[in-house]
Amino acid sequence: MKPCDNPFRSCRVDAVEFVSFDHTVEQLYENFCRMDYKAAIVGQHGRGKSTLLRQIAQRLNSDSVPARLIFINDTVPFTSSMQKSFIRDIHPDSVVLVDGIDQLGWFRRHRLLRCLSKKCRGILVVSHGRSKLPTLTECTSSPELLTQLVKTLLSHQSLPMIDNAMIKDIFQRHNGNIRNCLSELYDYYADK
Amino acid sequence: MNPQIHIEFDNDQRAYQPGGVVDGTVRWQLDKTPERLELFLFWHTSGKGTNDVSVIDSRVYENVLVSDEERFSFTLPQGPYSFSGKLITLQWSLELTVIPKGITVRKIITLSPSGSEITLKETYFPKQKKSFGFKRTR
Repeated sequence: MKPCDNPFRSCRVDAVEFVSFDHTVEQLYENFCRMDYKAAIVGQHGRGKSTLLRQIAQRLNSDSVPARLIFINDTVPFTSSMQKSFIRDIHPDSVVLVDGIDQLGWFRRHRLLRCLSKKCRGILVVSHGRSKLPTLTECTSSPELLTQLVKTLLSHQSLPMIDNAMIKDIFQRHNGNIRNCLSELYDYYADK
Repeated sequence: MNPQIHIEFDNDQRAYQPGGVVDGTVRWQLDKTPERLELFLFWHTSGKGTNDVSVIDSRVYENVLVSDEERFSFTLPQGPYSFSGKLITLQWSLELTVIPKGITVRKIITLSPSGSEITLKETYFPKQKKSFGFKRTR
């Protein structure tokens, strides 16, 4: 199968909406508003934290609340000078969403949160562990969740569904990291 | 009436050599006079990992009628070629968008010296046998 036809190609996986059996995005958004726009999304790798953050950013924009996203990872650093200019230019009505705050050291993380809480309306961070901010939700995964995502990605495709035993096996081998599970399924379909 | 937009290529040609010229016509039949129409020539990748996109050329059609047509001509660069491997596919496309409606039509073309998409195959590299003993040096 060609990469552009693979149902698990990255543009399709990135477009999948956040799924949780406990809360809808709307419920989580309402909770975030009730928490005075200060919260953290917690969870291990590949549990949908960034997906949820992106959807909350869209929801804020649709409510005309300016949302500013900071994305930090190994290849996209957030240097001290970038941090200074970001904090200097931030609008007081905006809500800042930080993806990858764990990449910053303790001191810079602490200083960023302190500055943002003084200078803007709200903060939502994505973290692998508990932070100083109250937890909005703890993202988890399960074989059932993976099954639902696979069904979504295979819908409208004339491809057979993978059996539950295989989904369970992939889920266990990747320790519940949904992103890695979907990456393996890309390879599975690439060989078809 | 449903709005209709089309990209048509001269002689229905879809495969081009590097440096070749893409000639054609864009046609539209809308329910309201648009602000403008934009036509983009670009390549993009899809598959596993980050998607890349690069716009090579564009045309903007302003002060247009509700139903009309315009000719276009783009000279293609020398590369990259259209190809498909296990991890990514690189495709060349022309995309026409109606502003502000956001209606879009996209047509895929092929850019390669052979005129067809290049297929990358996995290559098997056998392990080289290690020579036993010492190499004689002068």
